[in-house]
Amino acid sequence: MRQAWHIFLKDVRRLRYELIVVLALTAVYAWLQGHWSPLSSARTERLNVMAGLLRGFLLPMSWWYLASLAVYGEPLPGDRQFWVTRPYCRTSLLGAKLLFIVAFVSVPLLLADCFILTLQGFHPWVSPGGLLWHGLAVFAVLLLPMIALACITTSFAQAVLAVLAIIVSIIILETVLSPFGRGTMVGISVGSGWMASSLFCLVYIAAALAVTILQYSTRRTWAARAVFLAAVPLLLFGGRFLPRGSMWVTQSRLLESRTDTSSITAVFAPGGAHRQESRPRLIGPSA
Amino acid sequence: MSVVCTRELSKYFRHTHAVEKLNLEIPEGSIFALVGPNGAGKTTTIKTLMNILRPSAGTAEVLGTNSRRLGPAEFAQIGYVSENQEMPLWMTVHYLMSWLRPFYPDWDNAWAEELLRQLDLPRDRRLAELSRGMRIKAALASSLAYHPKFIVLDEPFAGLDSLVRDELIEALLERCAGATIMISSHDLAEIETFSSHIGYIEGGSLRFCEEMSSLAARFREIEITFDEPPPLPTPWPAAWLEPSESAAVLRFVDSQFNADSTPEEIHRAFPSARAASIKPMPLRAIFVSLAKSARKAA
Repeated sequence: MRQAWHIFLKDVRRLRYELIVVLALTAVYAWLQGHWSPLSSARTERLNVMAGLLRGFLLPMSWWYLASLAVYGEPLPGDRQFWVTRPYCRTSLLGAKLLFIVAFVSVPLLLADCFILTLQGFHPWVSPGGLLWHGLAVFAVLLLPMIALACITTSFAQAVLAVLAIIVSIIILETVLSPFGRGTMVGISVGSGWMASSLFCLVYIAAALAVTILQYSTRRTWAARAVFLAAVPLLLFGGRFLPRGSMWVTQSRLLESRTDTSSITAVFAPGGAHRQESRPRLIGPSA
Repeated sequence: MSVVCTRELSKYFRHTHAVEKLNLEIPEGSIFALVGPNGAGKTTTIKTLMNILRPSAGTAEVLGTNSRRLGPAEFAQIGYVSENQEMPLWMTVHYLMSWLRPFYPDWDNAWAEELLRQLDLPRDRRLAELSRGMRIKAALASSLAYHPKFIVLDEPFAGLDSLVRDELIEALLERCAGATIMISSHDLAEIETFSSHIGYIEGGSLRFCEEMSSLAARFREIEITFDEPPPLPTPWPAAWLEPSESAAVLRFVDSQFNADSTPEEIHRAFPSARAASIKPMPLRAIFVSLAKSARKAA
């Protein structure tokens, strides 16, 4: 733990300027998103566009950059690294990197969410589970794959090229396969509902986790890269082998038995601001 | 006790055999020089010993631990400096030392300070701003400050000017008495001055590995003068390397010189010899003749 803390402090010192930029972006996002409004006016539309740009592009990019730089502080691929012949404990090293990302991405995001809720008229602790779930989802779906990619590359430029190569491959495959009516899993998962999407996410997260753990425990870069590359076609084409019909039936039954959609009501306040008055009421199997 | 012991250690990169069935022992307290031409397998051997690369076959033990299992406890006793190591260039020399301090239970602050002073390292300069020689000095200082039992230096003098080289060697010899040092180099002149043991590697194979004194004792340059060019003995003795003939003079290198038997062997092989001179050889000349013979044999 002491070594992890020592490495963490070193990374904070090394990336202090990048940290300031990322934290400033998070603060700006929190302010803009907190002032989000569905009402149409030139000012609100401008703010909404800026918030959307931050949420959809700038913040994820800055997180990716920061997480990658943190990992590249002690690069894993290659045989020339200074740190591999020093008494580093690998678990402490991984712990330090995760601590860094949690401290400067997840925690600021959680605080930003609380701030946004407050500005929108909600108490932040109305739904602590929701806040934590959002943080966890961002970490698992967004940050973990970024860490995994940084584990098998030696520079941010290399990581960006890898992502571009994957995107281009997906586009080509989509183009080639779509005339034959064979979509990739990206398309299927949306059409098949949350069960397929969850399965997609699970494979995606498991692959990212496997790559990260494999690299930090053994530094077998080629094996880790193979896992990463194997995950891509699995995610793209795995959906074709799912029993879509039975999955759809199962998830429809689950939804029918658990949710009473008639209980959703929305009440608009006189001032124009709106509040969601009640959440969907979950009804147990005995109801 | 041996600090390094390898058994049939091999490392392949696809179809290239970088290291082939290497059997090597480095005795405790020795200064072991691993020499050989460029691409001979020196760096690969060292990286395999340091668990940077995985052996393809065979095993290696370092400080009594299988090289594959070298971990923080072992690395706290090993000082590794390589010419092509990627250092954390953003750190200042002072920060590098204070950053590494908590990793080593035996870190000696006073000694670290003295090393910085002796090696004339600017404390507040970032490693990125230092010359290559200064960076190697910084790496060396950071690798000696915890009194490592085993110091591994991979081509530390490559590309350095002679003044820096002398300083490094001096610092090493003064500061590391008692430690086992493994140094790889193709700069034989330096190696000769301070090594106690030597291993010669070529094409991934260890040609020989012995004490420096015995190596120097068994190689001699022999020059025989005749009245007229002599017929060469057949078969030509395997231990006599690189024969060259010019007019009435025959030169070769005896790789198994023995003060008692060699003059007699020469007389038996060349009864018409008028005179024979037997000269000791510098290390460089020994390796040049070994390399040439190996190339001819190949």
